[in-house]
Amino acid sequence: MANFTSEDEIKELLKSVCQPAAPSPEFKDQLLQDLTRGAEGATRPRWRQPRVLVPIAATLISVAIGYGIWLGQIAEARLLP
Amino acid sequence: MADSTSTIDNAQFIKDLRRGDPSAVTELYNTYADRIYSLVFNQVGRDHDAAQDIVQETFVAALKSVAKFRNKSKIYTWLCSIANNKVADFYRRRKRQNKYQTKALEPDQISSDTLAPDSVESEERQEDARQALSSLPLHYRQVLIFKYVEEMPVLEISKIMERSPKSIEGLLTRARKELRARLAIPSEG
Repeated sequence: MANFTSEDEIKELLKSVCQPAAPSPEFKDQLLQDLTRGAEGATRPRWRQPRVLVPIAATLISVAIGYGIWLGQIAEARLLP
Repeated sequence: MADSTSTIDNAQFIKDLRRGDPSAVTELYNTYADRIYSLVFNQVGRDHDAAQDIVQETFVAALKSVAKFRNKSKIYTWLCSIANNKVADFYRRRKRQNKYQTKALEPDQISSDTLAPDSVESEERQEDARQALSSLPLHYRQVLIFKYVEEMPVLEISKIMERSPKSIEGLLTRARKELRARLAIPSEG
């Protein structure tokens, strides 16, 4: 039996004990699916997240409608004698 | 061990990961999942269930914190660092739950399905070595695995374990000494 006094002997010993292992294919597939599904939502810029995007869109639409009404009233006022 | 990170353009790759590009996530996973699993599996005393939980936590945490990755280290080093912390968390949780001991699985629970010893003598020797490694404190086991199994330089280990290179050298010396003691082998002096 080797004495494991040198670096190489320790390396040989540990490599023989810590051999490469792989997760089950089912686990790997499931985790990959979870990660790809979760990544897009998690890393999406803040302004593109629905809780930010929806109020901004609603505000912009309201402003556009309001501006349209305002322009209509001005046009109407100018047309009146 | 060759580092396959050299095949990945880090800057562009990290950019793609930050955008949540599914192909970048798939590439990250396919490149490193087996290596991280193997590393964790050996650190937790060859416990498949524990290794799978920790690998899952590691990749989820990596994708959450990818915005903080500054590209100053290799991607594998960064993932190892996250995995290392998750292994420590795992043992802390187990200790809190008081269901398990801090050390790895007992030898009779250790799977030997991946080992193919040439003879009874080598099988016994491996069994002794496995017991000795499993009975070491976690940070000794981790530093020995990074140094001799992963064949990482001290500087890289120091980044992963968040210690100075000098501290890692000291830790390695103590870990080797302890391993020899548990194998009943004369110390290096």
